[in-house]
Formats: sequence, structure tokens, C-alpha cells
Amino acid sequence: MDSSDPATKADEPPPPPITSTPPVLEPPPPAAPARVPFRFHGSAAEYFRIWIVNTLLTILTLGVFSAWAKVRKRRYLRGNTELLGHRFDYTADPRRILIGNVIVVVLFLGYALFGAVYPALRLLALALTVLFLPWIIVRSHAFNAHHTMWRGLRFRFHPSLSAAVMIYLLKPLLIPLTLGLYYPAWARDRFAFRIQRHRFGTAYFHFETTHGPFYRAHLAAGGIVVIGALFLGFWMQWLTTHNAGHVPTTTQTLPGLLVYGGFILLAKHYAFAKLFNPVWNGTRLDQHRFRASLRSGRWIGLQLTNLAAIIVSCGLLYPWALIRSARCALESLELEPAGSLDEIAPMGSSSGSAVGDSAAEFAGFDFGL
Amino acid sequence: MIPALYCDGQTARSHPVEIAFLSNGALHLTGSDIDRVIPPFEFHASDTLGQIPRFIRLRAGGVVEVPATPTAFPSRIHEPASRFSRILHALESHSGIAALATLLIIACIVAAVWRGLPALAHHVAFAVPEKIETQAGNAALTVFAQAFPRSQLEYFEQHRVRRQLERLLAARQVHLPPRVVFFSMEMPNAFALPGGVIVVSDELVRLSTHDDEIAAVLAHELGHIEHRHGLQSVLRNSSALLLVGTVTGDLSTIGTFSASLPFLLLQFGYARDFEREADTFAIDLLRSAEIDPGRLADILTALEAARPVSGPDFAYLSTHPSTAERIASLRKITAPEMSADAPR
Repeated sequence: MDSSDPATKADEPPPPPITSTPPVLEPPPPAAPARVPFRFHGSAAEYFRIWIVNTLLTILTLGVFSAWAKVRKRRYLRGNTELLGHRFDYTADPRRILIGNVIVVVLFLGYALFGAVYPALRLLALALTVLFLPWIIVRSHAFNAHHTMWRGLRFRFHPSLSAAVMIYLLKPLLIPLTLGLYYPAWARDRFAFRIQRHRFGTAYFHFETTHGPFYRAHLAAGGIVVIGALFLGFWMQWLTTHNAGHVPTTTQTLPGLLVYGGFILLAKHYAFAKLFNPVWNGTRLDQHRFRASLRSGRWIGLQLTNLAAIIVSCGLLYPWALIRSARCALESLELEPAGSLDEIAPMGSSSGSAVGDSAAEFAGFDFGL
Repeated sequence: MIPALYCDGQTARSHPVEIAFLSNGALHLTGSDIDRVIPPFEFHASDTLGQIPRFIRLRAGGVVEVPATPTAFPSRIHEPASRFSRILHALESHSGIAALATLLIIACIVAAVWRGLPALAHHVAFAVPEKIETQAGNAALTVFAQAFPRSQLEYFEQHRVRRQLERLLAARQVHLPPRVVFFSMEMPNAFALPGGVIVVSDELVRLSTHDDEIAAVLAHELGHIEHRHGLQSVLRNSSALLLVGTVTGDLSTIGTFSASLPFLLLQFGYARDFEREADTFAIDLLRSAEIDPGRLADILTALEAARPVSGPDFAYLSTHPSTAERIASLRKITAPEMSADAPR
């Protein structure tokens, strides 16, 4: 076993079942907290085989199998992620994801069909979707947290609806009022909402990253978008002068739009790369800290080559791109335990938590977020 | 004995254990402070997926994490429900199956394009505003005008054709007012362009032996117009335009693309399904205008005979073996009327 958990190493010497050996002497490095890396064991070739078979089955079953495909994908990614010798597990029942999918498809079809006849209904449906968004988000988080396990314990997400309404419906209203200046703060609050409402057994997640890194990352990303917009502007200007006064057609504007889209993608990956380290370094699980050291240049290069590979291969290299991204992100992440993690227990007593389990089970759906 | 890791579900503590399956299917866990036998119905193993570990979940709480080794699990511990996942895992572990699945997916996409693109082109063509259709027709006509000399027909000859058009329109209108344009093309021919433009060659007018034959040709071309076959062909041949048109609804570029339509029509004609549709339309229209639909077969036969032998026959054959076939089916459809006509 390559278990690097300091707590489990010295377990061999004691002879047979003497009730239980006192685990007090165990932590060998009492001083400087050792960092333990996250490891990723996924293989692109193996995942390609899984993905292609699942995609084919999804096509042949007209999308019904997509719920099973999604669970297999998540199980594969979590099952190949190792921390302290243990892998993560995903235990969701595909049938529940199927229910979420069916709800989304039925609502969308209803929207498309009735919306064509009664345009007013479209606005109503859109308004309802926006109103339900916070509920959908918290339920999805709760569902996925509940079904993610490590060392036999489940993660949890506290699905507070009022806080979600605040974060996803009310606070965004401030963005246009402040001419976008509030956006980075909103992005930070979203992370805070998401991370702080998660826990792992009895251990709580805390989020301490300040607004600074968010403002820096989004300012630079905004700059990239502005450059793209300027390019698009020049392109349109050039078209109108060379088009003898005609309004440029869509095919003529398309190259400009594509380049603009490229800049937006670049900005998105830039913001992700620049925020990865501050977000994880500001995240705690009780007193255990995370340490991230993602090189943003490497991440952006990786994402751009991923995009090129996916386009050139007509999507066939998507599994390769996914595995590469997961490996890059996970291998730049470490846990800095402040002592043993062994004291973490499930929330509540075992019998009580079973009730809680099934309650969360009933409340949760996955809406593909 | 298989090395594994056990967590009791009460804490996040990890216990290195060894597991073994007893003859009755029970699970035997042994470790430094653990020696438990778990009955077969008290645990459930997760499905095999790639090389990820198997998680044996104990109903009483706790998980045994078993590193993936192909021989670790005796087959009898598989519950019946997991037979499906065993098949799935077998499919997922074969490179050959993966290659086959890739080919099948590509085949599915090709089939969707094959059947889906024409359907989409049909849908989009009927959504195009009249103004844009007319503009597209003018663009195509400009190209025609550059390629062929002006008509040598006398006014009364042109008038004869136009009168037949009026006769047909009196029986049935199409979605926009059609007009006839004449060119000298060195062979008898007729085309329908988008925007209600019917191109007729001088030679066709001279080939016809009866006004009803002209009417039959025009009825066929009106069928192309009513079904927007010109636009559909342009859209079918430009998937980029189709994509842009479907997504944005902006079809202002259709004019540029329809400039290529004349060449296409000269070389290949309309697609077979379009010809069939136009024939059906023509028969209906001719009947309601009280013209013998058999005239269409007559003029087609004459066209076939007049076609230069050294012409681009191979191209014509690939998409148009239908001419003979069309004549045959037209004769079959119109046979009762012909026989009714015969005694007279």
C-alpha cells in the first residue's frame, strides 16, 4: 500500500485483536505540517473507451442513457482521484439524474412548443426558470455532495434557499448598477457560498480568500475581452468601408465573431487559472488547509491545445482533453493536514444520519449543472 | 487474500485490511484490530469501471476499498442487478469495441446529415422572406445572362409561352408572381430559379408541337417554384449557409450563394426527389387547368430525343436517370385519362 497517511502507517506491529490499540503515539512528524498531494490516475485511452461506448449508447437510446453515462463519468473521475491513499467515490443512482433530465427536457419542450404559439408564455417560462434557478443550484450541489464519498464519509451541502436567492438573484442586480465593478466581488461571494456550505462529515469548509485576487483576475480578463471587442469593432469598420455601404452579411462578420469568441474563451481560462491558487489556498477543511500551485501559463496553454484538438478531431479527443485538464488541476493541488483527519466523523449519530441521508436523497436532483 | 482499505463509516480513519470471500459468499475482513465476517446479503460491491477501485459498502455502515485487480472478485458476489454493468464494462474495456463504437457514431452523424440536412433546408427555404428569394433569383439570373446569348424568339413566340403561364395561373396561383425569361441555349431546356423566375430556352419553344406541351413544362417549373426547390438546392449545397440561416435567421447572403445555382442546374439538374415533387405538382395543376397531363410525358420524350448524344451524359445519368423513369411513371399515372381520350 502506498498509503501516505501518517496515522495508518504504524498499524502493523501489535498482535491480533487486542480490543483497540491506542492511536496516540502515531503522528510521526509533529512539527512542520507535511503536505499530501492529490493524485490523479485516470488514463485518456481508458476513458476514451468508456466515453465512446457510453456516447454510442446515449445516441442509440435517444438520450435516456445519458444519466448512466454521466454517473460513470463522475465515478471515473472521482475514482481516479487519490488523497492519502484513498480514492473518492460517487454513489448517485442514475435514475435520479434521469428524473432531473426528464424534467429539464419536458420544461424545455413545453417552452419551445407553447412559446411558439403564445409568445407571452415564453417570458413567463423564462421568469419562472430564473426564479427557480437558486433552488435548482442548491439542489444539484446537495445531490452531488451527498453522493461524493471519501473514506466512507459523505460530503454535504447545506441547501439554504434564501442565501441562494440572495447570491444568484438579488446580488447580480448590483452588477449593472455598478457598471460591472461589482462583478468580481459577486464571483467571490459565489465561491464563498459554494465552499462554505459544504462540509465533509463533521468537518466544515471555510473560505477566506479576499476580494483582491478576484478583482485582479477579472480586471485582466476584462482587458482580454476588451481587446477582442476592439478587434471585432475594427473588423466591422473595415467591412463597412470595403462593402460599398452595404450592411455586412453574417458570413462576412463570422471571422470577426470567431476571433472575438476566442478572446472570450481565453479570458475565461485566464480567470480560472489566476483564481485557482487563491481560491484553494484560502479554503480550509476545519484546520486542514489546501495548497495550490497551478501555473497559469501551463493551464491556458493546456486549454488552448485542448480546444484545438477537440475541433480538429470533431470532438473525438474530448476524453483526452478532459483527462489532461483533471490531471493538471489535481496534480497542482495539495492538502496540508493540521494533524490527523481520523477524527472526522459523520454528522449526527449513525441512526439519525440515515434519516438525514434519505431526506437529502429525496430532496436532491441533478439538473446537469 | 486481497489487500484493501477499510473505513468503518464512524470516522475517517483508514484501516489496512485483507479481504477474502468465504465459500458461502461472505466477506472476511482481517486487519490489525479487525476480524469480521460479513454475510453475503450485508454488503454490496460497486460496479467495475475502468481501473478504479471497487467499493464494497457494508449495509451496517463502512466501506472496503479494493484496488482494481481483475481476479479480486469471485463472480458469484455479483448481484443480478449488476449484470448490465458487467456487460457495459466488457464493452468499455475492448479497443475493438471502442473503434466500432467510433465508426457507429460517425455513421449516426452522417445519417443525420444525410436525412437531416435536406429536412433543414426545406424548413429554412420556406421561412425565407419573398424579398430575399427574389433577390436570390436575380443573382442567379444575372449569371445566366452572362453565360447565354439573348433569345432569338419572335415576340409572338414569347407571347405564346406567356399565355400558357397565364392559363395555368388562372387555375392555381403560386406563392409569388412568376415570370418567364428566354435565352438561346443551343439545346431545349427549362429551369426554375428562386424568386419565381422560369428560364426557357428558344430551342424548347421550337421543339414543342403543341401549346399544351409548353403549359406542361411551365406547370412542372411552377412546381419547383412552389416547393422552393431553387432555395432548397442552394441551402443543401451550402451547409455553412444553412447553419448560419438556422442559427441566426439571417439569410441575406443567400444571393451570393444562389449565383452558383445555374451551373448546378445545367450540370446536374434538380435532385430526383425535387423532380418527382414538381411532376406531381404539374399533374395536379394540368388537371385543374383541364390540360391533358400526358403532355408532360410527350414533351419529356421529345426532350430526351433531342438531347445531344455527346452531351455530359454521365453527369446527367448520375442524378437524372429519372428522365426515362419519369416518363414511364407519368405515362402510368396519366394512362386512364389517355385511354379515356383515345376513342375520341
